[in-house]
Amino acid sequence: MPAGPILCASAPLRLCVKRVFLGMIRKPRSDSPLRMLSAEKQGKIIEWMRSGGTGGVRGQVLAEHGFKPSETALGNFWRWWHMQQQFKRATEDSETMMNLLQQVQPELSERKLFDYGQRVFQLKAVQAEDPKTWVNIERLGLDRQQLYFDREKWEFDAAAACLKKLPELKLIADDKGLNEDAKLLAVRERLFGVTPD
Amino acid sequence: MTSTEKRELLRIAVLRVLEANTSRFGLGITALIHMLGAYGTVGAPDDVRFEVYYLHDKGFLTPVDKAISPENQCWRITAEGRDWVAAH
Repeated sequence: MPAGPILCASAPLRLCVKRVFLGMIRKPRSDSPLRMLSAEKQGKIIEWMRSGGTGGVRGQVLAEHGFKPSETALGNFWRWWHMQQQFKRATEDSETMMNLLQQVQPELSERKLFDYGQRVFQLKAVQAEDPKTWVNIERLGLDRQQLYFDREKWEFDAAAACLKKLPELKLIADDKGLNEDAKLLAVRERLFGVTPD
Repeated sequence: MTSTEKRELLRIAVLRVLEANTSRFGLGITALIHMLGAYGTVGAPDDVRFEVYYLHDKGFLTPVDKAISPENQCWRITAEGRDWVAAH
């Protein structure tokens, strides 16, 4: 049997073994044990967290499930659980809408149906979220816009000031007694006045 | 926090949001930004889009095939992305 194919065939096998080995020694994420529990048990932990914060819940999880999650793990689990529920609800609504739409308009292609489902999914996923986040995003966009306008105004003002004092600036630029730093400082003072320390 | 660290946190948050979605549907940039708030991350649309493209290039995200308005891409996490999230 020729050597080439054996080498080629064994290379992926070696990689595969390496990946399996690495997978075995890789440290699992801190909230993994919580995510491995059944949906019912996860719901119960969320209920505990709702009623008593994370402090007592760590002990309750230890007593009932045999491991004590960290505060961080519980926090990550809380976020993941709620987000997953949100996506589940959005998915259910989308699938329901797609089924109804298919009944009403059977001529619609699968692709178009999916597109409508996709739209509903996004709307529903976002609807359940905290409106405060949306306000922050909008504010961030406005701040950026303001920054852009401020910069544009400054550039325009600087250009106008340069034009107005062009003869003086030329004298500074041609002054052989000044080094580069002194020239920059002199130009700055001519254009914007003496800068505060 | 440096901009590099912020970028890394944004990437992780994007992956975590999309990892919670096990449906066949995806999330667009606007919806994604909206949901990043749950991880204490706020990103401007251009920043989030940039990181989504980066994660796509890494094979962690995949675009959802859309017939209507394909320019407004929606994204899902790949198996590779899930593996990464599970390990970190």
